Amino acid sequence: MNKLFSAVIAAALTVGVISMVGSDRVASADGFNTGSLRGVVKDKASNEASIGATVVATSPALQGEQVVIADENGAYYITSLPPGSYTLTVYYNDATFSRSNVLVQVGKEAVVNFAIDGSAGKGETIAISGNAPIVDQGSTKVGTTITSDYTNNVPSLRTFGEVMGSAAGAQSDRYGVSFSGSTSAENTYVVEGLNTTDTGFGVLSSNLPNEFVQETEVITGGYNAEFGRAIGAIVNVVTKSGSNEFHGSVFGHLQPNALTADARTILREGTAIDRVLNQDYRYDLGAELGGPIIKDKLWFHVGFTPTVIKQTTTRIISRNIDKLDNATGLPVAGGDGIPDADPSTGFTTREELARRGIPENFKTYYFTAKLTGAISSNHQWQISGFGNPESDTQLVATIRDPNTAQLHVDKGAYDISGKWTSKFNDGRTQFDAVAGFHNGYNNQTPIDARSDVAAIRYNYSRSLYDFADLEGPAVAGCQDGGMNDPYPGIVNCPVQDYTDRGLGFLESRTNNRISAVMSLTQRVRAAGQHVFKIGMDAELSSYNSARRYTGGAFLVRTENDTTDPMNPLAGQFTLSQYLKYDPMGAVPCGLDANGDGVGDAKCSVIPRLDANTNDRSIAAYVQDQWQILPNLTINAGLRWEQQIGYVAQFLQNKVAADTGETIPEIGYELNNLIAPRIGFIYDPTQEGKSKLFGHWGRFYENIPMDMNVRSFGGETTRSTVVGVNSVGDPNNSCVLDHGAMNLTDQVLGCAPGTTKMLGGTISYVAPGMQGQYTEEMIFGGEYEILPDLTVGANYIHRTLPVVIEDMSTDGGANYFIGNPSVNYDGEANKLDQKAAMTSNETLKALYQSRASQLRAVKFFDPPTRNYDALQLTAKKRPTHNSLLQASYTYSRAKGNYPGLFSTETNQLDPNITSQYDLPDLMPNRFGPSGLDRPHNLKIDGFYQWNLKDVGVIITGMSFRAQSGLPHNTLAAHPVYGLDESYLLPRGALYRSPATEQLDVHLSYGYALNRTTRLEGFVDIFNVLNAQDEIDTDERYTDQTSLPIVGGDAADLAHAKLTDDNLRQTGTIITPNKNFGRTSVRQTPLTGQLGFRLTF
Amino acid sequence: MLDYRSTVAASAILAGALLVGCAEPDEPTDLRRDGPPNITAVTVMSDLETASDPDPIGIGQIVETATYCRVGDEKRPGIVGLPDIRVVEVCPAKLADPAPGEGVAEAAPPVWFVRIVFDKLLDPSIEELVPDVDANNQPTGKLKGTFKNTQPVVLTCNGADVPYDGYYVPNGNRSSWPLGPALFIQPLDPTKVPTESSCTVSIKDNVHNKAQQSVPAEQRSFRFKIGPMVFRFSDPDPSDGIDGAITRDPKTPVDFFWTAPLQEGTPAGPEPGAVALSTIDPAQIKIFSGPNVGVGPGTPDGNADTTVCNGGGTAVDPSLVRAYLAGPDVGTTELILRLDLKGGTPAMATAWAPNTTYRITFTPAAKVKTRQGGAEAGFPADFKLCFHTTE
Repeated sequence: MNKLFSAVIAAALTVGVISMVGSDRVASADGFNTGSLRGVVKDKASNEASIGATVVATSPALQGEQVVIADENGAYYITSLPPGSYTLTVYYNDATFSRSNVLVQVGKEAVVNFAIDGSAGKGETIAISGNAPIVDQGSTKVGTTITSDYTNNVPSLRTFGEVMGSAAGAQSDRYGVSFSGSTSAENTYVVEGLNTTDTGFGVLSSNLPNEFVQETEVITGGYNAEFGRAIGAIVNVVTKSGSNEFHGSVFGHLQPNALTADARTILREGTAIDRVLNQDYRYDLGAELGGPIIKDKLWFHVGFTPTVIKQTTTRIISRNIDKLDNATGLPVAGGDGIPDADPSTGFTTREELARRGIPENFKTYYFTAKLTGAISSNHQWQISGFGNPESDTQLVATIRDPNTAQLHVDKGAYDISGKWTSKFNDGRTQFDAVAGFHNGYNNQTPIDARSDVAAIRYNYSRSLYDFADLEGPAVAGCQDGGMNDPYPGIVNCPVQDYTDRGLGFLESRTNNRISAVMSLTQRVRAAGQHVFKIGMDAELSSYNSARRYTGGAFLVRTENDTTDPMNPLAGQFTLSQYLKYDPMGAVPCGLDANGDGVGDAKCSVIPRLDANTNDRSIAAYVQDQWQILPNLTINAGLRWEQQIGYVAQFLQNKVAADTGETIPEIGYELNNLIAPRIGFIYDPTQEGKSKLFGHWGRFYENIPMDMNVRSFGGETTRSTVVGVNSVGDPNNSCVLDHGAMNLTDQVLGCAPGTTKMLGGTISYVAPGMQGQYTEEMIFGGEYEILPDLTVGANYIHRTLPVVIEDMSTDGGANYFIGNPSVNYDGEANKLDQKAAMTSNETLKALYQSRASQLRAVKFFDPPTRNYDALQLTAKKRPTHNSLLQASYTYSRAKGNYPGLFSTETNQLDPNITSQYDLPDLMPNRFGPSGLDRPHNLKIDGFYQWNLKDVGVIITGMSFRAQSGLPHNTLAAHPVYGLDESYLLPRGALYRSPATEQLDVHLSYGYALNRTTRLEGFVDIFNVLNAQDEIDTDERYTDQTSLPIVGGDAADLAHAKLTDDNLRQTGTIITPNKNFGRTSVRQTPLTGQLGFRLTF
Repeated sequence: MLDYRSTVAASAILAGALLVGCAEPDEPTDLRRDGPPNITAVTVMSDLETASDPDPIGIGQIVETATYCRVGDEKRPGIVGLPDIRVVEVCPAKLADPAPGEGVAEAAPPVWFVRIVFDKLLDPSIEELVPDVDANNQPTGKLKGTFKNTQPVVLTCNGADVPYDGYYVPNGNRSSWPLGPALFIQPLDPTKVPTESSCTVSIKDNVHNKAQQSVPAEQRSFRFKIGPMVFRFSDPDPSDGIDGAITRDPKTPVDFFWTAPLQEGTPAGPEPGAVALSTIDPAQIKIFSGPNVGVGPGTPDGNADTTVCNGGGTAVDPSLVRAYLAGPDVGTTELILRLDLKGGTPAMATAWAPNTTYRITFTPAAKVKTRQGGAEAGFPADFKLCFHTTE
C-alpha cells in the first residue's frame, strides 16, 4: 500500500477510535441493505425535549426490536433497519405513544418527530395518527426506490433489471439502462451488499425476478463517499427476508402469442431478405417462501422461478419487380431494367417468395436462498445465495445460411454473500461487513458441427440464387436469366454481406469477483451531531477468456473484378486468424523496430486464444454526516481508490518477443484516485417534510476487465489477403467461390498474399495515466405538499473531465493507452533520456518511438461529455392501496465521448473503443450524444378499489413519453472502415420523432382468509400498439469519405469520395438507400396474464 | 429559509453551471467559426510515383508538399496521419515558421495538382455537379464536381494561363488526409506546362464562405514550381538483381520511365521501324554483352555471365542501339524511353540476342529532353542494369 492510502486509513481509524472513546450517541449507518430513522421527542405543551424517552422500533421486517433513548435534546436515532413498514413506540413518564406506518426504505433516513402529551395517564397508550414524512433527510442522493407495491401493481416487466428504468431521466440503451447521460456499462449493480457488476464489460450480470426483491434503490447521483466505482448509477437491490411468520407466494405469468400483436416488418433496400421478430410466448411459474426457523433469531427465505421465452424470427425472401417504366410509372413490356419503386415508401416494390421461421429459446432459472440471523439485537448476520443460470438457443443473423443460423449460449451468474452487523457501546458504535463471491459466465458454442467451421462473408451484393444449395426451393424464383426469369433486366434477389458456413467469432468466459466491504460508524457530538463513517473495500476480480473463430478462421470475400473482360480477376479472400508468440513459429509478428517491414518476433497460428486475467481494486473512505442543526446537515466525504489491472498470467515475466522487454505482472495501475464529495440538506419546515439540498462530487470509474483481456492478453490477429501477390496486386491465385468443394479448406490452402498484423503482446500505458472520472453537481428541493405526496425539482450537471482510451499517434502503427489530450511532454522527455542511456538499439528505438507518440497526445480533442438536466418529480408514498410516481426530465447530453461503448457502432470495449484511436477520427464528434433525449416523461401508478367482501380490484398504469434520439451521418474511414467517419457533426441532421407508450394493469384479488389472497391479473404493454421508430440507419454511405467539419445538408451534396487507392476524387459519394430509414421500432402490444397467491 | 442574497447566489451558481453545460467547445479538429475564409495552406502534388502512375500499387505514395503555410495560424495543418499507417508533417510545428519550400515547392510532373486549404467551409456553389462518365464517356450514374464554369482561380505558369478544372472538397480538416476543406485545382493538360516553370495560383472574388465573405486580399496569390524532368525507374529494375539474374525475353525491350513526355529526336518520325527516336545520343549508352554460361541440357537458356555484370563483356556497336519513345499516349507511353538493339540494317529480329548477358550503363552526357520545355534530364550516375536473355 502506498503512503497516501496508509494516511487515509490512519486518519479514518483515528477518527473512529476517538469517536468510540469520546462519543455518547448512537451510531447511524445506512448501509446497502438498510435505512434509518431519526427525530425529536418533545412535549406538546411546553415544547421541551422529552429527555430519556424510550423509542422502540418494531416491524415484521425486523428481528426483535430496536430500542434507543432520546438524548438531552429529545433526539433519537435508529439505524440499520431493514426496509419495511415500522411502528415506533415512545415510552415516557409511564405513558405510551405509538405511531405506525412509518416507512423505512433502503439507504434513506426518515425524520419522525413526536409531540407527546406529557400529561397522559399511566398505562395509557396514545396512537398518533397520520403517516410519517417520506422525505429522505439523511443524504443528497437522487434516484428512486422501487418496492414490491410498484412491481406488483404497476405494469412491469419481470426482473429488477427490467424495471430500474423507472428512475427519472433513465432510458434504455444498447446494453442496459442509461442514467444521467452515462452509458449503461458505467453503472454498478449491488445485490445484498455485493457488487455483482459484470467484471468484463461493466454490464448487468446478476438479475432476479421482482418477487424475490424487497426493494431496489436506484441512485442516479449525489451519493457520498461510501459509494464508488461507478460513473453512472448505483443500483442497490435487497432481496426478501423471512419474518416471524410464514409468508410467501406462488405466482405465474404468461405472455401468449394470442395476446401479442404482430410486429411491423422493417423493410430494407437492397436485400431480398427481410426479418420480423415476434414473441411466441413467455411464461414463468415460481414460488417464494419465508419464515422463522427460530423466532426473532433465525429466519429463512427461498425462491425459485423458471422462466421460458420462445420467439421466432421470420426470414422473408422477396423478389424485386420490374414491370413499370419508373420515369412514367406506366407498365412497359419487359420492364425498364430498373426495379420498380413504391412512390409511397420509396422502397423497391417486391413480391414475397417464401418465409421461414427461425426459433429462439431462452430458459432462465432464477433462485434465491437467504438466512437472516440475530445473535442479539446488537449482533445480526445474513447469508444470501442467488443466481440466474440461463440456457439459450439464439439467432446469429438472418442474412446467412439459414441452416446454421443458431447458436447455443449458456450464461448467467451465481452469487453468495454474507453480512455481519454489530453494535457496541450501547449501540453507539456500529461495525458492518459484507463478503461475497460473484461468478458470471457466458459460453457460446455451436449447435452442431456444421456451424463449427470457418465462416465466409461475401462482402458485396450478389444474387441470393447463388446460395440456392443452402436456401433450397425458397429461392427458385430468384434465378436471373433463363426461361423462368420474370424480370430479366434486373437482379431479382440481391443480397448484401451474405454469410455462409460457420458462426464466426465465439467466446467462452468466466467473470468472477471476490469482494469484502467493511465499515465502522460512530456518532459524535461536536458543534452539532456528527456521524463519522470509515470504511474500506477490496475486490479481486478475474476475467478468463477463450476466444476463437469457428474453424480457426474468418473469411471475407470481395467481389470479382470484371472491369477487364480479357482478364477478369476472381475476388480476394481476407483471412483473419489468431496468433500467439512462438519462438518456433513461422509467422513474423509484433513490433517492427528494425524497420524491415515485418514484425520482429515469431508467431504461430492458433485455433483459440486463451487469456486468464486478474484485477485488484481497493478503496477506503471517510465521511461525515454533520447535523449542524436539526434541519441542516452537511455531508462530506473523501474516497480513495486504487485499481491494478494485471497482465494475462501466461505472459507475466516473459520476455516480449517483439520489444525485448520483460513483460510485467501489472498491465496498468491507477493510484491515488481521490474522490471528494460534499453536500448539504436543509429542511425549511423542520419537520422532515421538505429539503433543499446540493451536492458536488467526483466519481471514478472502475475499468472493466475487457481491457485486461484485449490489451494485456496477448491478442494478436493476422489478416491475410489471398488472391493477390506479395505487393497486393490482384491475381487469380485463389479462384474459389461459393459452391466449391471444401471451400474453407481450399481457401486456407491458397498461397498467402499480403498480410497485416494487429495487436501484440501487451499495450504500452502512458506513464502517469489518470483514472477516468465524472464530476457532478446537483441542486434540488423536495416538499411534501400533501400528506404522503411530495414534489421535487433537481438540477444535475455532470462532466467527464478525464477519459482513458487507447490511441495511436503514428497513424495506427502502434497503440497505447492513456488520457487523450493530456500533455505528456514531461514523460516523453524522460523516455528520450532513457533512450540516450541505453546501448541497446532496439530499446533505444522503442523508447524514442514511445516518446514521439506521447508528445502527440495533446493534439487530440479533449474528451467532453456534458449532461445537464432539470428534473421535476412527484411521488406518493407507496402503500398497498395506491402509488404515484411521476417525473419529467429536460436534459441535454452533449460531447464527443458517449462513454464506455460507442452509441453509433455499438462497440462495447470499455476504455479501448475506436473512439480515440486516431486524431483524424475526431472531427465532428462533438454534438448531441447518442443518449440525448431532451424530454422524458414518466408516470406510474396504481389504485386499489376495495369491494369489501367481493374482493379487490387494482388498476395500474405506466406511461412513457420521450424525445427521439439524434442521428448521425456516417461514412467509412480510410483506415477504420464503416461508420467511423462523421460526415456531419454528431446528431446534426435528424432526430427520430418522440415516442409514447401506455401500459395498463388490471387485477382482481380475493381474500381466501385473513392472510391469504388469490389474485389474477392482466397487463397490457403498449396498449396503443405504437410501433414508432426507435432507431434509424445512420450509414450515409459505405464509401470512404472524410468528415465535413461543421457541415450541413447542403455540404453533404458535395461530399467527395476517397477512392480505392485512398486518393482524393471529385466524385460525389453514393448514398446508402437505407440511410435515415427506420431500423428499430417499439415492441408491439403484448398482453400478460398472471396470478399470484400470497399468504 | 434561504434569504434573498443566498437565493441570488444559488441562482448565479445554477446559471453558471448551465452556461458551462451549454458552451460549445472549440475542438482542435474544428474549423474556425468566425471571420472570412483564410487559406491555411497550399499544397502541390509532389509524389513521383502517384504523379506518374494513375493506379499505384499500395496506398503510400500520396504525398503533397506545402508551398504555403499561414504563419501563426493554429488551424493550419501540422502532423497528419496518412491512411497507410504513416504520418507526415505538412507545416512546421512552430507556427511562426513558414512552409519550408514557400513559393518554390515543386509539383511533380506530369499529373500534378494544387490544393488550396481553407479554415472554413466555402459556399459549395463554387462548384457545379455534373454527371460523371467513365473512360468510355459513358455515364456512371454518379455525380462529380467541376470548376468548368466557375473557374475560382487563375493558374499561370511562366506567365501563361494554364487551363484547369477541379472541384471543391468540403471534407477534411487540418489533421485528416487529404486536407480540407479545399479547392482542388488540376491542369487539363499538365504535359504542356514546361518543367521547372514558375507558377502562380490566384484566388478570384467568387470564392467565399457561407456568409459570403471573400478571401482576404493578402491571401489571394501563391507561387510554386513544376519539378524538373527526372528519371524514375526502369523495367527491369536493377534492384531486382545486379548479378544478371534478371531474365528477359529477347523480344522485349528495356523501358526507362521519366516524369515528363520525351521530346522526339531529330529528324523526328519513323526511323527503322515504326518508332519515334528520342533525342538521346546512342553513343552515350554503354552496352556490353557476352553469351550466357551453362547452356546445356536442362538449362537451355543458361545463366548470366557475371563477368559481364562486373565490367567484362564485349561492347555493343552504338549503331545497333535504338532509343525511342514508347508511344504517344498522354500520361503513359509518352513518358517512357524504350531501348533495344534493333538499330542496325537490317535490324535484328528481336530486341536482344537470345541466351546473352547484357550490362547497360550511361555516360553523364546521356541526356533526354522534355517535349514540354524545360531542362534536359540524365540518368543516375551509378545506374547499372545487368540481365540475361532467354532462348
